[in-house]
Amino acid sequence: MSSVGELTCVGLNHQTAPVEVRERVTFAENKLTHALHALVGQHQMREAAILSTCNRTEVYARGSSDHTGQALTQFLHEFHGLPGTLLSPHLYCHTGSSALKQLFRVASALDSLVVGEPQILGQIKDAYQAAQEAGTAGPLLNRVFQHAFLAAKRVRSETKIGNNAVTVSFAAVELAQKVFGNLKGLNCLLIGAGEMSELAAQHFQRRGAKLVIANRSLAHAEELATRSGATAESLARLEELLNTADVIVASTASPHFLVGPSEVRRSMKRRRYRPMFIVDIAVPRNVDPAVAKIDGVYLYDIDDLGSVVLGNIAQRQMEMGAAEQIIEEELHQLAKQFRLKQLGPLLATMKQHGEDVAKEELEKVFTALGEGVSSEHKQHIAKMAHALASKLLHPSIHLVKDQILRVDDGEALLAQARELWKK
Amino acid sequence: MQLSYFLILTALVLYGLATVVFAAHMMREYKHTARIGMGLLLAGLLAHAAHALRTGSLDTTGWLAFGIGLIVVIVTLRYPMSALGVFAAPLVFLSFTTALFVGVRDSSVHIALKSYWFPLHVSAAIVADALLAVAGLAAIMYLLQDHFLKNKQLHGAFHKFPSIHVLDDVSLKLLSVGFLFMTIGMCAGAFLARQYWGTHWYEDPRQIWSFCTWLILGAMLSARFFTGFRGRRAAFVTVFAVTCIFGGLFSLNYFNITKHNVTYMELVK
Repeated sequence: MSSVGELTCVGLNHQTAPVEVRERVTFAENKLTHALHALVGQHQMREAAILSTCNRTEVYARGSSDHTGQALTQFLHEFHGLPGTLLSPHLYCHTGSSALKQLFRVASALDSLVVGEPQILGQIKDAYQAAQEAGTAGPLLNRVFQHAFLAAKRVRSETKIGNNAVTVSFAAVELAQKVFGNLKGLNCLLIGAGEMSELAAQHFQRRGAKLVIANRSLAHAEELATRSGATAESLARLEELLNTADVIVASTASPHFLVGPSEVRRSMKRRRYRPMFIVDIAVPRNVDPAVAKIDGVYLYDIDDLGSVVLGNIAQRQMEMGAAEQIIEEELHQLAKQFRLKQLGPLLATMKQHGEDVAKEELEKVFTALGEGVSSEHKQHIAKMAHALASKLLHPSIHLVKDQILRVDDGEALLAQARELWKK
Repeated sequence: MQLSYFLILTALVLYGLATVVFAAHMMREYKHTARIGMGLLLAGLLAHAAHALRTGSLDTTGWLAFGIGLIVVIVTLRYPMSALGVFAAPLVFLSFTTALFVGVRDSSVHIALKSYWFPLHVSAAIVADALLAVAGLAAIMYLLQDHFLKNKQLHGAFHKFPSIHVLDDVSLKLLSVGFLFMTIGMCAGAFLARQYWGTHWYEDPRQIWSFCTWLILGAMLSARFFTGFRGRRAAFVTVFAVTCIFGGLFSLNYFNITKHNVTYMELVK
């Protein structure tokens, strides 16, 4: 029967290893099944799952010996063809409830580079699915992974750990939504065809905005426009483009302002004073700060967005305590489920012991009484003996069950009880 | 305890609780507070309606409270505007309390008036007032959200308020429908006056005041539809117009300088 004590986690992450090390132990998707089979076959694991992302590589396994941690470390070195001690300073090894806690924290994005990020849960689900498909997920991993998903879901729904943007481009999208509500069908003008523009373009386009890219070099604009399904325009037509733009993202390397208050005032009149949301992520700034004074225009520069992001990160950190509390509750719940499962054979042994004692004593009594007792009387006596045994055992069974499920060190109590009732 | 007394007390308590819950929703991060507040408001409305149907009461301020509450519930079903309850619940509670404890003089005007214009006049006016009151609240929320966005105060209430686009849209729609009901109410009132006093226009201060505010609202709506008048200025004018409507009506009633305060017996003389 599986128990949490058999679970081991060996791995490294962004906190323990630099990217030069992390990139050497990633598992490509097409090699994952082979790696899982190697773990179960050559390295004699009873169950195994591998989580491999850009920020972490972790192997969760149910071992068949006390040296599972060492075996997993050896596997990581051997599989990636690395010298014996290269990974050792960067690896961590968790066993039993500590490994379980690690899985729960990772699934809930508490161990992520950006706390509360939503991708990690999907990545863990993929890792679990790969283990299932490879046939290396058994009763222990099935149970712990399912419960980790449950804990992660609770953390996301009961805390605000995943709320609010923690990147500049996403913060811009969230603010735009506070102005326009739905971004579908809005005209989004990207001034500049750099990396930041591309990032912002992806966010706005995902929400259904129509993109126009204006750049000094039309060729660059066209290149980005082809990649992101936008329209390319020359920067010379900027004022004309302002008339239809609801959202403007400026990120050029221009040393002077490209958008000033007079152009925006004229545009606002032409667009019948529909609101305009401007994000100026360029340094030096592309939009004159005086634009912010115009009615219906909302201007945010890189510092404004930076402080929004910092505030949101701080808010996520504040939610860590509540999230950890949920994880503790779920760990306790899972441990209880495991103990309940292990309790079954112990309770059966206790009951069987009672039955055996009753049977033994009945044989002695019937031998002593000889033939003088009718079969009807014998039945009554036997019934009484079994009832006595059952009633005498009942408080002990109740106490064992209650204590083992209730107390924190139930595992130790369970072991003691097993020892006590060992035949 | 009489059933009608029990119902009115229940409505009062529920409106009060809704006010407290909505205040908590705005001040702290409690889960489901907006939903609970809306549920309490709806329950209060049901108790209020049950009381009104049982007693046949025609207390205008009480009905105005009911109308505001009902419109807020309908608006929140269509738009993500639960924060509207923060402003509306105290207004409903205050109007209802005023109707109960202070008493409103025109409550004595009884339905016995044998003219179809009378119920039409009163009900259209109440619906219009309720719609305009909620439009005013949405405009206040617009001004606050605009202030938060302009000054980068992106915390607390900012997250609980909807986008300024939604606030503008809700305010404009309520204002338009409210203006329509106001027009119906004024026309019905004019026909009623013709029946009882022989003239459509009898220069009652309340009639003059209503006509002036109707003109302001009409001008503003025309500007909004035809010239692109919108945003902060439109919200300011909405708040100003709604304040004028209610400020004027309550002042005229308070100083008793309108025929709308007369009792039924005086009215039918």
